[in-house]
Amino acid sequence: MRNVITLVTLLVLVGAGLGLSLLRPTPLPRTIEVVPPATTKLVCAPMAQAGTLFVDGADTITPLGGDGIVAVGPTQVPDQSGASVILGGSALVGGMLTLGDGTGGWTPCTAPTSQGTIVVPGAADTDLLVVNPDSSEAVVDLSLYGTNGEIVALGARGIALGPHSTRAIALSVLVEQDGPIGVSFSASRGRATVVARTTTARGVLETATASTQGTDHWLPGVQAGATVASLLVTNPGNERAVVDVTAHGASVAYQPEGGAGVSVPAHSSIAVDLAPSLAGEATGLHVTADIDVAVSLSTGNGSDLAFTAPVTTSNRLGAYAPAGGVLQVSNPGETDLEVSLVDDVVDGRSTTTEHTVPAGSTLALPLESSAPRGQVVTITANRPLFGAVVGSDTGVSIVPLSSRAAPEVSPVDAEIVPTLR
Amino acid sequence: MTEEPQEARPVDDLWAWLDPETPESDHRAIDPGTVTAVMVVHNSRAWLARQLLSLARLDPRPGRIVAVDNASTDDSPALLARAADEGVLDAVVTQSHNKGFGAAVEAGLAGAAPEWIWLLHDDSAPFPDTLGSLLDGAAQTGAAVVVPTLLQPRRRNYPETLSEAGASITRSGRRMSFVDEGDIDQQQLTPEPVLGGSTAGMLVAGHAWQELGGLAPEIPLHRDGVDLGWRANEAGHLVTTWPRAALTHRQAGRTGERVSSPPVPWHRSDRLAALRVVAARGNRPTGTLALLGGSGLRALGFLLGKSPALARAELGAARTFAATPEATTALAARTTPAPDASARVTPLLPARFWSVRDGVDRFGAGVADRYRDLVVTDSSTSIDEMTGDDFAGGQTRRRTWLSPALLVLVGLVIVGLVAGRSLLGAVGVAGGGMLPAPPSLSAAWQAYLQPDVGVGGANAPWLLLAAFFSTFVFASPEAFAVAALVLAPALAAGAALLLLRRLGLRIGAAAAGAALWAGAVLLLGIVGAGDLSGMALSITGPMLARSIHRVALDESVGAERLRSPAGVALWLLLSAAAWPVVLPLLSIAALVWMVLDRRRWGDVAIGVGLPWLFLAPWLPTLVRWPARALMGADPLAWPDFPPATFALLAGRILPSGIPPWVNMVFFAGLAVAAAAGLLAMPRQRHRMLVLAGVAVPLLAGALSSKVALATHGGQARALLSGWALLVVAALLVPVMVGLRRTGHGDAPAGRRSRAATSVLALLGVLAAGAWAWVGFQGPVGPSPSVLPGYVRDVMTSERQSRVLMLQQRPDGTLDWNAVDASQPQWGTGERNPAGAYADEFGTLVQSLGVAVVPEDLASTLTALGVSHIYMGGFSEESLASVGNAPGLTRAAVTDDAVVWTVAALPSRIRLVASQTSEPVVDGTIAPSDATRHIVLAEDDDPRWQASVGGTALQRSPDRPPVTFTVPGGAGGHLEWGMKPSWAALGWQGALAVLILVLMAPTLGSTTSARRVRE
Repeated sequence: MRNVITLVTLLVLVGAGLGLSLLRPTPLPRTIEVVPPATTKLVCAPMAQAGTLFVDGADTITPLGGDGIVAVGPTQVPDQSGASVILGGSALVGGMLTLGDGTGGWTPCTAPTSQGTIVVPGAADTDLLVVNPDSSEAVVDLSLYGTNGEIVALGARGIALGPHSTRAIALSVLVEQDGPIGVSFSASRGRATVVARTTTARGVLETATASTQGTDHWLPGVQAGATVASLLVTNPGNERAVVDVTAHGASVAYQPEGGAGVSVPAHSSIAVDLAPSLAGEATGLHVTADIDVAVSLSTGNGSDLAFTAPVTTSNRLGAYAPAGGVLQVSNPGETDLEVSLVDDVVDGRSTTTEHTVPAGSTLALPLESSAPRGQVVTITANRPLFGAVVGSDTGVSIVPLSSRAAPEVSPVDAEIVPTLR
Repeated sequence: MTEEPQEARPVDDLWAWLDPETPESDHRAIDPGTVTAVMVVHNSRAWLARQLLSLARLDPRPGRIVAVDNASTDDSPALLARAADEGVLDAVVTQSHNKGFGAAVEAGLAGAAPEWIWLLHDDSAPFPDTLGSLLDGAAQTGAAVVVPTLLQPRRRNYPETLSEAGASITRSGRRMSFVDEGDIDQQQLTPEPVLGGSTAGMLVAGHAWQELGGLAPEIPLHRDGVDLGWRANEAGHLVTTWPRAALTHRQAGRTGERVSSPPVPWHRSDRLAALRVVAARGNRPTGTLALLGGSGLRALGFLLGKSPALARAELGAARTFAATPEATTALAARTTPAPDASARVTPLLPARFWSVRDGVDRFGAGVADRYRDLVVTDSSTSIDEMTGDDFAGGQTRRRTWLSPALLVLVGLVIVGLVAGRSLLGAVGVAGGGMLPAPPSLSAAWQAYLQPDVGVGGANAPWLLLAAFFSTFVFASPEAFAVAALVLAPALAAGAALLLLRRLGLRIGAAAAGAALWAGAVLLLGIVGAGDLSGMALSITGPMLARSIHRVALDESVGAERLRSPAGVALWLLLSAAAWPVVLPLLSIAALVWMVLDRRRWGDVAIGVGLPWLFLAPWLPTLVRWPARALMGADPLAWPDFPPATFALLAGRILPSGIPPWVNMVFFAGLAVAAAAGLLAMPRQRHRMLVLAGVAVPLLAGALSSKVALATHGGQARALLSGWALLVVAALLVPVMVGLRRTGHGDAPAGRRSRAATSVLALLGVLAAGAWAWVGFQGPVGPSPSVLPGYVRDVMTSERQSRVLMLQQRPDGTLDWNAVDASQPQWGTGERNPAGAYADEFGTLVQSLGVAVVPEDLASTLTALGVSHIYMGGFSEESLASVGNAPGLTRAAVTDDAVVWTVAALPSRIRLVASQTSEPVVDGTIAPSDATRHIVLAEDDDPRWQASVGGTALQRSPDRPPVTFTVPGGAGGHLEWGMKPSWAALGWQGALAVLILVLMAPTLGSTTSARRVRE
């Protein structure tokens, strides 16, 4: 009997221990989940003549190396001949409008990066403006890609910029050949904003801004009736790239003639003329490649051109644009898209309209022309789209729509490991 | 032919052929009638009758026996008178005052000049042939002084043991004997020239006595025989031992049996005599200052040996010696050295450093005795062995090289070395709960001395012990860490062996138990997972149990009584340093014991009170975070190992790297053995006690492993290995009880016992063998730093910067850490391992991890003192996003990792002036007239201190912490840090010394030993 009691007690003990061991343990707070704060810094590069700075969503506007001013809401700063640095949240947008001699151009403010690529139609009459917006030194290396491969140019390496400084480099000095030129820059120290400025036949500078290489690019801004729509592609890689173009015109998405299977040799740049196949429609382009390439779009009428770099798609797009112009939004999806357009004239009225963008097509909407202080344009939808405000009254200018949606950042599982050393 | 019957020969004659042929000598036999024996008597009533009987049985008898009563206050004079009446004594001389032995002898001689003088103590009983042997020795050697062998009083059923056979004296006055007291007399001694000896039984030629002036009155009681012999040697006489002559010497004065009148403390008078002898004798006598200094050291030694009475006597003797230089001078004048005196005496004195050699010999003998008792001698005896003669058996002695205990211990050491093959010579051994060792011994001590920021008191005491033990392992914390990992099972087995032997188990069973214990330690994952506390508890636990057992059975008296609770204090202190909850639990048990047995208050006060005092400097941490008591060392260093579920029953509480089937076999076997042992227990109460011993820690451990407990800087889990070890110990109890109870020899029960022992030992072999085969495949292993050298150089430079490390795993999750010159290492797991600004680092880690990098990243890093960011396993896209942040410069480390350098040269210290804030990169502050401030990138704590050019800086209370004001004109080298816990070190060190002193053997007289024997 005693043995039975002993064994039963033992079994109960074992069972209790097992039962307790199956309890779910209280988790240890070893992992950290914090949504990091997002701040944005953009550099607004000047053209040769003074322009007007359009900024919305900024906390501060600071001339390079100078004292900043606090910005509240849409802010215009006229007579800007030097670079400016704007700081704000995720909805920060800005650009520089330069008018003169009956024409004008728009240079969007872009973020300083450690690397990027600019593609321009040609080296002639083009210079690169390198801006170091930080308080530490930056050193930039340039790699040049022409139609015949990489161009080795003296003076393209180790371009040093002091804190809060700019430097202009004549591309024509580095490159003597014609044809599109891709300029890849990388900062071995610090970072920089690089803008290419081209003097067109009408003597007005147009600017091209840098973008990152990738296999997927969205190019808005081919206005209705454009006679020039040249896709510029640079392949900085070691292998031949094959590029395909999808056009989102007035009706459905289609592949324009000359936009299929475009072969780009390694270390080379090409220009693809798409104007004839775009039928004069307001169009947005979707460029895909099998390897990372850089692209840009040169469009306009005759000699009145504007350059645009790829933009991002988003459910919420916006821009602070000058008065007038046409809003072109492209729906890359396969179903129609309902969009809501808010045209907020600064110091004026705000209008909200609902529209439908057919699948694969581009919708062109005229904007308020009476807006001396500009207008803040916001497009929202329930699927991503892309677009730009294309102006032609004072010369062709393309104001790309930027994403104004708060970035959805999911915290990553991060555990502190004391033995990591 | 009929042979005539042979005469029976005495037994001794049959062995006569063994005796060496004694050559016919031409020495003349000395007539015993020429001998006058003088026996000095004082208060010896208890044994005088026996002494007188010995005198009556002398054959040959001296010509004259004179007894001198030296002012006895008991019935000794009456006994002497009756002996004189009966003819045992020829005369009795009565002294009115006790002027010492020498004066009494002179009184007994009464001016006569006999040919030979035989000195006798009233407690030195001669054998009937003693005088004859002495005279034979004198005749054969021609010696003027013959020193007999003194034996200890005979014990029943015990052979004769030696007390003394001649003596010498060291330069410091220490007695040097030529025999080990207590050695059995096997007639092994041979006659030797000697410096001197006890006057008990000493035979002195009359002419030498006259020449030397007898015994010196300056040394009335002790060392007088040594002094006489020294003077005799100097005068050219031969002083020799003659071992064939023996007396039984009671040593009544030394053992305290004799009550002197007036009372004369034995040690004091002996020491005084020794001081005078060495100060007076020799061609280069020992100087007075040296002797007084030596006496001081000896007194200190007696004090540390818990013998204040002897210390007092030592100092008293020194005081008297210093106050009576005339006695020393007079003693020195009593010599007439021959021309070759130095050459005669020097060989008879101890060699230089004899005391040191003697101490080493004694220590070695003690160790050898303990070793023999532990691994060779079996503790059990049978009734036959206890009651039979020498041939009935006795203590069983096994061949040393086959001892199972030795096999287990040596085997585990070898297994440990084999298993640790990947660790030997490796750098940065760490993993699991084990953080890397500090890079140097001084860094290890600094880790303890540097208190935790934000919490009062000292750092965890285990850091003190780790630094202390590292001092003895090549002065290298790294070596100590590897040694601990490799040798922990062997040490645990040794501790278990000591406990089981103390509990009376035979060697085989104890060895099997020790092997099981070590196997459990391995399979629980304690070693493989770097569980420092578990390793410590596996060693200190059995030792603590052993100490408690010793306290329970201790019947010592006096200062010796303090040793056993001091042992408890030591092992409890070590256990509590590893697992603090042990202390309150045992304190409660001790208090209950004290309530049940009030005599135990002293044991409790020492055994439990001293560890509480030792841990006192750390109590602020334990009071603020009570749950820390349930945790082990560096609780926040532990990864969140998934708590065991079913695997708990197979002992897999921590990853060990050993295959699970080994665990299952081992613990199944142990469980079966425990169940069998449990069922074999006859008393239900005992069974329930064992089950309770299993249940409580099992349930406590299972519960505590499920909760997250708060400690300084975060949350951690309770130490599970402590509870697991208690469960294993409880399972071992019925197993060991069963082995202890079963018989031995060739009986069936004995065979079963041996079989069971073998099976259990095999389980231990299985665990050890698996460990040797697998090695360190668990979390612990070599983990050198992945940071490039230039980054480590910056960390350890004056900038003392931090490095933020991120390692992305293939599943996208992140491991991260903030490191600097002092972390990670031992002790940094006592608080949040990221140290100061853990939250800020967490936010930065998220920003870098999701590649949403803020514009002010560089300035944030600079403010936190971060000079570099290490990113491993990230995609190029993520790295490019980080690169877009200003103020960072990228450098590749490997194909998979990059290091970002913050361009602004961040430092842990910034110098803030009115318009500028610059990092201090070289540890120096340039002088300036303006008042400036130094800002440390650290959490606030009032113990921060800083100095510039040797001038201490004041804190700036109106500025952000931690800021110091640099006054105008100040400049120079900047030093900063937390105020070291020297007071805590002193306190804990003093307590440790106190415990060790209490544990040390008591240095006392032989009084208590003699009383125990008789």
